[in-house]
Amino acid sequence: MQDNITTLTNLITTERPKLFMLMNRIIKNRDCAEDALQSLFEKIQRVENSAIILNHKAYLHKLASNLAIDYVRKQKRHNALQESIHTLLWVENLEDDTPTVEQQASDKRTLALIENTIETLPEPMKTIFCLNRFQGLSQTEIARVYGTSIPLVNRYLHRALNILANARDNE
Amino acid sequence: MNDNTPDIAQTARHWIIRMASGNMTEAELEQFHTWRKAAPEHEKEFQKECKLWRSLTVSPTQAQAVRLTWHRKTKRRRLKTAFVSFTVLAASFAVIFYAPLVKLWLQADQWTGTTIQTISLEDGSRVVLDSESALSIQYTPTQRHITLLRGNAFFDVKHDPSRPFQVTASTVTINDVGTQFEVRNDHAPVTITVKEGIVDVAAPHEASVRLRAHERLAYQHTTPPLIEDNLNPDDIAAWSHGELVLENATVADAVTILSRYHKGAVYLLGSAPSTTRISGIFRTDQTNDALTTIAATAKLKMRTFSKYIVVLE
Repeated sequence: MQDNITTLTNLITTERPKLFMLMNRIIKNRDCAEDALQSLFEKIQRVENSAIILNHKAYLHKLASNLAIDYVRKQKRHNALQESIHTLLWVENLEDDTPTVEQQASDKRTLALIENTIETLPEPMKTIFCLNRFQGLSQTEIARVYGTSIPLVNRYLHRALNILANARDNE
Repeated sequence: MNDNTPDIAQTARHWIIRMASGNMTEAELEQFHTWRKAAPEHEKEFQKECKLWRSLTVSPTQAQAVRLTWHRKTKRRRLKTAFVSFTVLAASFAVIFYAPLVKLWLQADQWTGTTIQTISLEDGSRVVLDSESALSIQYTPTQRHITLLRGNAFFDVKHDPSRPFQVTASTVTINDVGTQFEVRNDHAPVTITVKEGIVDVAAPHEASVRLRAHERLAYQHTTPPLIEDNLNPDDIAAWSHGELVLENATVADAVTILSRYHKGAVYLLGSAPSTTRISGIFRTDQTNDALTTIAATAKLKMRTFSKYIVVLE
C-alpha cells in the first residue's frame, strides 16, 4: 500500500481544480487562492506517514477548507493592523495644529527647503524614497523591482529621512 | 532647536519608516506603543517627526519622473521572461515610428480603444473615459491626482477635503471642490465643462479661475479667460452615456468624430461637400446607423466591406 504523502500528492494533482474552486469560494481572490493552494501542497508533504487516514479525499478537502479559512482570518488581521498603522501615521491629530502667522510663514519656507532637498538626494535613494512616501509602495515591492534586499531599501529610506530632518533642523 | 535629543529623534524616525514599510508586525506596533508612552520626550519627538513625514511634498515633475522609473523597472522585469531579441526589435521599430505613442503607453494606466470605458476608483469616484483617451492615476494617502494624457474624460468625484482631487491636462490643473466635470484634451485648447458643483482651474503663471455648474472654459491662455455659461446640462459630456451630439459639423468632421467610436476603419474618399452641415444626436455604439444617416444627408455612397470597413464616397 502507498504511504500517506504519495497518496495525497497524487490526489492533489487530480483534485486540483476542485480544491482551487473550494478555496477560491472562501478566499474570493484567485491569486490568494493560488497561494493558499500552494501552502496546502507544502502542508501535505509534512503529513506523518504512520498516521491512519481513513478517507484521503475527505481529509484533503477538509485540510483545504481549513487552510482557506485560516488564510482569510490572517488577511483580515493583517488589514486591521495596516489600518491602525495608517491612522497612526496619517490621521491621528498632532498637537499645536493652529500655528501663528509668523510660524506659518517660516513653516512654508522650511517646506520649500525640504522639497528642494528631496530633489537633490542621490539616486537610487531619491526614487526609492519617493516610491515609498508618495506612491505608497511597500519596502517588499520596491526591493523586488530593484532586485535588492529589503534591509538595503530600509537603509536608503532611513538615510533619506535623516537628511530631510537635518535640513529642517539646520534651517 | 533642541539638538540634545538626536537619539530619540532618530528612534522616532525609525518607527515612522517602519510604519510606512508595509511589513510592520503586531509585535512591533506593540513595542512602538510602549516606547511612545515611556517618556514625554518620546511623544514629543514622534509628533515632530510625524509632522515632517506628513508635510513632505514633491514637484509634479519629480513625481512623474518617479512614476516613469517605476514603469521602466516593472516592464523590464516582465520582459526578462519574453523573447528578448524579438521584443527589442519590435521596440526599436516602435520607438522609430511611434515614439510619442510609446511614451504615452508607458505613462498611461488606462487607455481606451474605440470604446467608452467607466473606471471606478478606489475612493468611490468614477471616471468615464472617452474613446482614444488615456490617463494615469496617482493616489497617495493625502492626495488624489489624475493626469489626462489625451482625449476626453468625465469625472464624478466623491468629495474628501482631507484628500484633494486634482486633474492635470497639458499644463492646466483642475482642482475639484466636489463635483461632476468633463475635461477635453483632444486638441488644443484644453476645455473644462462643469456639470455639477464647482472646480478651480489653474495654469502656470496665471490666476486660477473658478467654474460653476453649467459653465465651460476653453483654456486659450488669454486674459480674461472666456467662460461660456448657461449650457444645457444634458449636452455636457453626452458621450459619457453613449450619445454623440453634433451641431452644425462639416461632413469631414462628423466622419472623423464618429470613426473614433467605430470598431474598424472609416474612409472618406474624395472631397465631401463643405456646404452640407450635420446636426443631430447619435448613439456611439451604433456607428453604422449614424454613418448611414450622414451618407444620406450628404448624398454620399456608402459601401461596407465586412462589418468593420466603411467607405463613403
